[in-house]
Amino acid sequence: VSDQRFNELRGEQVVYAIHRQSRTFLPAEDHCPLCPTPADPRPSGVMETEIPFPAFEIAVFDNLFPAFQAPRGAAEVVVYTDSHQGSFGTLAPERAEALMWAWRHRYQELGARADVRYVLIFENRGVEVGATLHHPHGQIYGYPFLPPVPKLELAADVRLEGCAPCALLRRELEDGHRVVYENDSVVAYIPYAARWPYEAHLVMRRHRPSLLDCEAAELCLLAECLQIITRGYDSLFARPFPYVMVVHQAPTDGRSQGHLHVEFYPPLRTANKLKYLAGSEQGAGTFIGDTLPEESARALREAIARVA
Amino acid sequence: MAPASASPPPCDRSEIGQRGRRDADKQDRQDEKEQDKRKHSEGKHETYGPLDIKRDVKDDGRALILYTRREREDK
Repeated sequence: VSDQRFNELRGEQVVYAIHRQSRTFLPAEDHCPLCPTPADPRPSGVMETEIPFPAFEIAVFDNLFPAFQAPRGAAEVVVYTDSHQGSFGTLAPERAEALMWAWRHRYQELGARADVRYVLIFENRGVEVGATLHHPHGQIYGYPFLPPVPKLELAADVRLEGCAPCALLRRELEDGHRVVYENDSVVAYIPYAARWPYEAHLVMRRHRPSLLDCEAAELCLLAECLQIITRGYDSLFARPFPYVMVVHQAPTDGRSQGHLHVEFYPPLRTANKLKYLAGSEQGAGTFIGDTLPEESARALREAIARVA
Repeated sequence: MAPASASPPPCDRSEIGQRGRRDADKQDRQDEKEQDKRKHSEGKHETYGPLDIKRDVKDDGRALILYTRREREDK
């Protein structure tokens, strides 16, 4: 069971999930808990995995090492495919689109729970950002409280006297220099004040508070844009590109608004150098950038052009 | 050069801070959830958009959900 304490100096909750210390850590493929379980009779020594079926498309299950669990939140694992290899970017387009619907379903079910105030869908890709399993997968946390980042987004709505992502999207489209890809429903850009060298935001053109408000065609185009960006990332330095991908949506507290968008926080600043959160970032909360967003956008556009 | 782009439609700012709508949405979702539970307990086929849903419970009691596209990728 997790413990939650309020950090008075920072004004934020800290969650202690000490059972996670013993979670599975970078197992070999033949011990991957996210692979399908071979059909019976199983070869001797082959254990049942988290998914006790010989094949599947998308699987979601309660995390064995949860940061949150009922009756105070939720922690789920979303397995994108039964293939151990590949990534979100290499999924068949139909599978990526199906994943949008699975995300939507989980947002709806978890968001309806009285003990969940905010649903966070995310993926940690690469050991550089703490991934402990290589199998293509993401996670979903159902927070029993409203975390600081969505609180800041709601504060931005107040500051900009309307939907902040809508206003920022208009600015980015008017400027154009940081836009890296767009389709009829989604615009991807490196934000004007990006914190990470290749941070990208994928924003729905129309005001959609959550996946629940999207039409089927919009979900399809969101999947397309996400795959274009992740493949572009891999092309940028010709290597698997680590990132944290987070789906930002309206809180599920029944009263707050939001604007569906996806943010990528990649830690690389060059092909083999990481951007660390050091003194200024951690001590002062001020990011010091090594690259200008306009230059990053130009490089990412060129990388996308190689794979689109 | 950035790709050509069209301006997004104006945001409906009147939605900001509208408690009522979100409350109603939440109630609707809770009702849908209860309906889903009943469907499962009755063993009915459950679908969501283009997906078939199969619910299972692991040996240790944790929930497992399998999502399958109704139009398979190999067709």
